[in-house]
Amino acid sequence: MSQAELISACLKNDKTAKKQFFETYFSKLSYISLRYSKNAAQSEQVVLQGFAHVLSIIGQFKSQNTLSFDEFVTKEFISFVVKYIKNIRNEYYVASTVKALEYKEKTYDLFLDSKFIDLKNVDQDVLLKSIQELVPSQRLVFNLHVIDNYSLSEASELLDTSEQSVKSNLEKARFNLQKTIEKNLKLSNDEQPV
Amino acid sequence: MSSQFSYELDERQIRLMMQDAELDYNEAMWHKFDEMSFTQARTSSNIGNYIPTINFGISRSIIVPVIFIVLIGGLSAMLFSFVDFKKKEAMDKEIPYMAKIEPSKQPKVSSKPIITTKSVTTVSIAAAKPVVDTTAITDITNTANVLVEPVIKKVEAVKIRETGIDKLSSQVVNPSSEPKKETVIVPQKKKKKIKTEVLPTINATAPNLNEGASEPELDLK
Repeated sequence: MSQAELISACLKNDKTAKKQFFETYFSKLSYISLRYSKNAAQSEQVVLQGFAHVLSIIGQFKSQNTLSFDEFVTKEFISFVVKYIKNIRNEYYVASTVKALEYKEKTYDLFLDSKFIDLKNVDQDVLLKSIQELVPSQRLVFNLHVIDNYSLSEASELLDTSEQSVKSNLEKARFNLQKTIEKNLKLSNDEQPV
Repeated sequence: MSSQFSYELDERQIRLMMQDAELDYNEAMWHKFDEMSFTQARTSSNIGNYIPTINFGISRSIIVPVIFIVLIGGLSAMLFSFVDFKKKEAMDKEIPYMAKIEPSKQPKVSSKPIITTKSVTTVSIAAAKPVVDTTAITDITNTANVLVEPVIKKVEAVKIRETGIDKLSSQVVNPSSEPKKETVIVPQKKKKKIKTEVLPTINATAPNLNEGASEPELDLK
């Protein structure tokens, strides 16, 4: 089934076409939702509702000339996920202050066993877990700007905030992410059998 | 943020790693999605067609001032309700200084005349006994000077004045149909004039203590 046929069949609410669409984009979109969500359970909900949203607006692709169908689907899915996460108010509006002396107060020493942690080559699972542990506002900004290559103005537009707050959240996210990666790496090293 | 912090994460590497990452296809997820879309389609076909979607784009910049205006207006209205301007005007008026003389306690005399109505029902007893006029008609036949006992033929012409009796009888039947009203006017008591007590005025001028006192004359000799 070609792309145009797939779109027209999905618009006609054809079940086989919908399944084909789901099979094609599930792997990619589910990992995106995993990055933006705080855990797997939330990611599952986001994926299901995100697919439903994309299928409902699939007819708008005709007017999109600059983007390919893959890019269109990904962009629409990301914008839906951002809105979904942002609308969980009790999670989104949380205190995101960073203690200035947190570096000194850490209880673990990374170089205690003379093990060098290469932060430039972090394991994918550790990185994903560390991103998920970020505060939602910081997680969204980091995902949008660093991973999905959105500019600061685009991210601020999507998040409905000022560019300054996006910058601030990005800096906090970078700091917290590195600290979380360090902590998670230390924990994973401790768990490993000698 | 700490001044000792040095950012060591390679963002380009993270981007490459995370952008191309994928999860394995899960058939169970498709079933879940299918169920969800089926239920959504059912609910949307039932309710969604009849309820129009209304989107009010009211931003925070509109809601917050409106709430403040309502609050300020409400508070000012509440304050105005406490302040009574009429009372203040009344207080501003000059009150003439007059000595208040309280009259001695006297029993209250009502100025209005007391009118008592007494209903007296007079029923004429005579009405019970009908008046009967009797006329005796005597026929005397005296021929040839013979004393003949006159035969007195007593003919009682009983004629009852029907009109009077009827009227009276009707009165007897209903003795309290039209009671007569007598009005007794109690003469109004004259209100005693209360004499106002006049307080004696005291001259405010201080008395000259040296007045009348004889000063000793100086002997200049």
